[in-house]
Amino acid sequence: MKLEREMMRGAGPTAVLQLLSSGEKYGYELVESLSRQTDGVLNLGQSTLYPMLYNLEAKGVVKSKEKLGPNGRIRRYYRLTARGKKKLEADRQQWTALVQAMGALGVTRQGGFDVGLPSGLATEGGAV
Amino acid sequence: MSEWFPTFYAVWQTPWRELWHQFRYTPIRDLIRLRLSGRLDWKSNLAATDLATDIRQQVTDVVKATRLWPLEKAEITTELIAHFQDGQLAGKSHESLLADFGDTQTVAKLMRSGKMRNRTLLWRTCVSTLKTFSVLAVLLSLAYGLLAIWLYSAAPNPTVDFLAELNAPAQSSPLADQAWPIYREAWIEHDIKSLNTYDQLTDPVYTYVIGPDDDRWPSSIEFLDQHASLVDAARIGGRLPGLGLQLYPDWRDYPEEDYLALWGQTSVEWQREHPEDSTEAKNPLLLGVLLPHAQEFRSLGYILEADMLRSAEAGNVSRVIEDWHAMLGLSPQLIEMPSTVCSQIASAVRSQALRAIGRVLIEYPDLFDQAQLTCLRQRIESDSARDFFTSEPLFYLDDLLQNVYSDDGNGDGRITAQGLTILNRIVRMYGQNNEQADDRFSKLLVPAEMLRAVSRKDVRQIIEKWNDENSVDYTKSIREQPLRVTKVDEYLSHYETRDPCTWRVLKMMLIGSDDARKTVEVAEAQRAAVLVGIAVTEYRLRHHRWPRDLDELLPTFLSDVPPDPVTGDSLKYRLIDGRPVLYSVGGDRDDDGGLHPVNKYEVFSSDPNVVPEDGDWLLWPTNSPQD
Repeated sequence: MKLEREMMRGAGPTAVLQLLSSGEKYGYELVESLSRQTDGVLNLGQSTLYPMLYNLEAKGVVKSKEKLGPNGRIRRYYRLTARGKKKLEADRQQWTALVQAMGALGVTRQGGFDVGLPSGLATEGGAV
Repeated sequence: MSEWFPTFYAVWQTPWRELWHQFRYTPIRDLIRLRLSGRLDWKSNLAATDLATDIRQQVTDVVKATRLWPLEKAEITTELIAHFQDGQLAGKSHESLLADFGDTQTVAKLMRSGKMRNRTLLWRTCVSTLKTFSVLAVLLSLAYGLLAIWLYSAAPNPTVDFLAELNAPAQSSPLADQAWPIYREAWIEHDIKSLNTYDQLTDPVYTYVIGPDDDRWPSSIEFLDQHASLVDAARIGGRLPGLGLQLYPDWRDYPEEDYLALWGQTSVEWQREHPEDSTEAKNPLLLGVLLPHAQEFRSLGYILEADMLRSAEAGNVSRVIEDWHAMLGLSPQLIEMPSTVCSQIASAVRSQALRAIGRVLIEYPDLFDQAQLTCLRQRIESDSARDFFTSEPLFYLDDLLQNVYSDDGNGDGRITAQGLTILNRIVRMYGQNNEQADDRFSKLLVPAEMLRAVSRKDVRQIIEKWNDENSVDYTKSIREQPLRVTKVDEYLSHYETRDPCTWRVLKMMLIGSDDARKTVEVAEAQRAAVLVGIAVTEYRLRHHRWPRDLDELLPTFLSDVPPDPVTGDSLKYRLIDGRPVLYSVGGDRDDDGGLHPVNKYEVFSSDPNVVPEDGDWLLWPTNSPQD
């Protein structure tokens, strides 16, 4: 299933922040994680991800740095800033309220999602 | 040290060309740290990778399309290289990587906007300010352009032939009363334009007509003899009541004979040799109508005065009186075409006639009998120089307005582009404002000037008010006039910067106002003095001596002593070396005993800002070698 553009625009940044909450990541890693962990629902193409990362950086919620990777190649790594962590927390609360509200209306099926966020956004370490 | 030395060694080994290349592509921040990173050369970095050709091309296209700064391009390149290499390592084919990547232009556009948001606040502020101002400038230019179109769409609509109205008196006068046919014949015969009468008959320094006691007198006599028919024409024509000369808008419109008389044989030959002059645009304005006859009336004045002196020397009284009447008759003929220029020349010629008769009275005191003196006095009393200026015609103004402004049908309208062109052309003729008129930037400001210009109706009111004030001044003597601090130039300077369009109109209409007022005052003072001079001469005729003071003239020869035009006290009278002198104390209001000032033109001035020269204003005799 693929999300509509407007839905993706709202969910994408929060999803990226959530992925970065577990540590710094580079672009391809983020693309792959999003695709894999959401079963392709939040499959952000490069054309969306990199501009989104630049925008998040401009807002001061992420910070980037070029570093030599383990394979000896230069990559740009992104990590959350303090502001980014606050933003993620605020986003979480909003998403929780939204999902609950949609569930109350019968728009969402409670069994199909984790508490608050779509199950695909659960980190490898556990539910959000 | 261990990091520094290999870098230094590598640099040392690098050929200069490569070194320069590295230098060119190193950001300043790296140079400051003494690092020749060369990382701005994103193309080389991309080429050095093991990526497939089509992926490298895709990256190149995207990076180029971002149109970002070199460092930003280098950062994106590095990131995309890593992205595709990671994809390849993950086992994806380059086709699927490219398919996932998306449209080149869309990616470039999104990356560009994302990267630009990361630029400094100062830069973004400058850019947004510039954009705001650009939008405002475009909007203002658009509004200004629309305004210009609106202003330039108005056109003048001249409906009245004012020249025909001005020509009407000349056209309606009977042929027998017209002097022009007489003058025309003589002017053609003697080619008056090339005669240079001024140099032939007057002293070039003191401007008086040469008299019998001057060494140059024989050549004057010779001139009069050679041009006897011209002298006769002046004497006969000058006594006719009308002139009868028709004026035309353009010199090409004149009948052949009139043209020959007015412009001379030389001009006719010039026109024959330069036919291209005939293709020039014709003058559209009444103000531009030439008065080719006016200056020649001064020549007639010199000729008649010279003939008066010759006749006086010969004792031919009747001819003296005839010449003098002819001189006085020139002025009404001139103002048959009412204009400020004609009025000024008419007043000057009349002043010359008064000076001439005053000169004959003092130099030939026994020439006239009592009846002739009475006749002279009556003639002088019958007209005044003020008559020439009291009814300044508004034809010129109305003609200018109808050619410069649009017409809303109710006597109002706004200034037009064609009108402004006409005004600029005429202002240039006066030798002012050339730079402004030719400056391209100034031309851009023309619509703004036009918008600020006052309306046709308001301009008319401004000039009417000025004329009314001047007309009042013409009826007053110097001492009765208020101190007019606001002269024409000062009055105009108020408009020159605030409303240049209106300034051009006013400039056309008010030039010469100050000179005209001064001319009238001088003429009236001379008139009063000559009347006293006639009374003094009558006294001498009866008592065989000059009076000791003016009170001796009362009441038999003079009803009262005229006032000094400057102070209002009695006119001053003295016998100096046995000859009578009438004078005003002049602008310094100090009686110097009839002493002539060094510069006789500055002894009197109605301008309160002019410091008067020491000396008196000699009124009779004046303008003679004895002055």
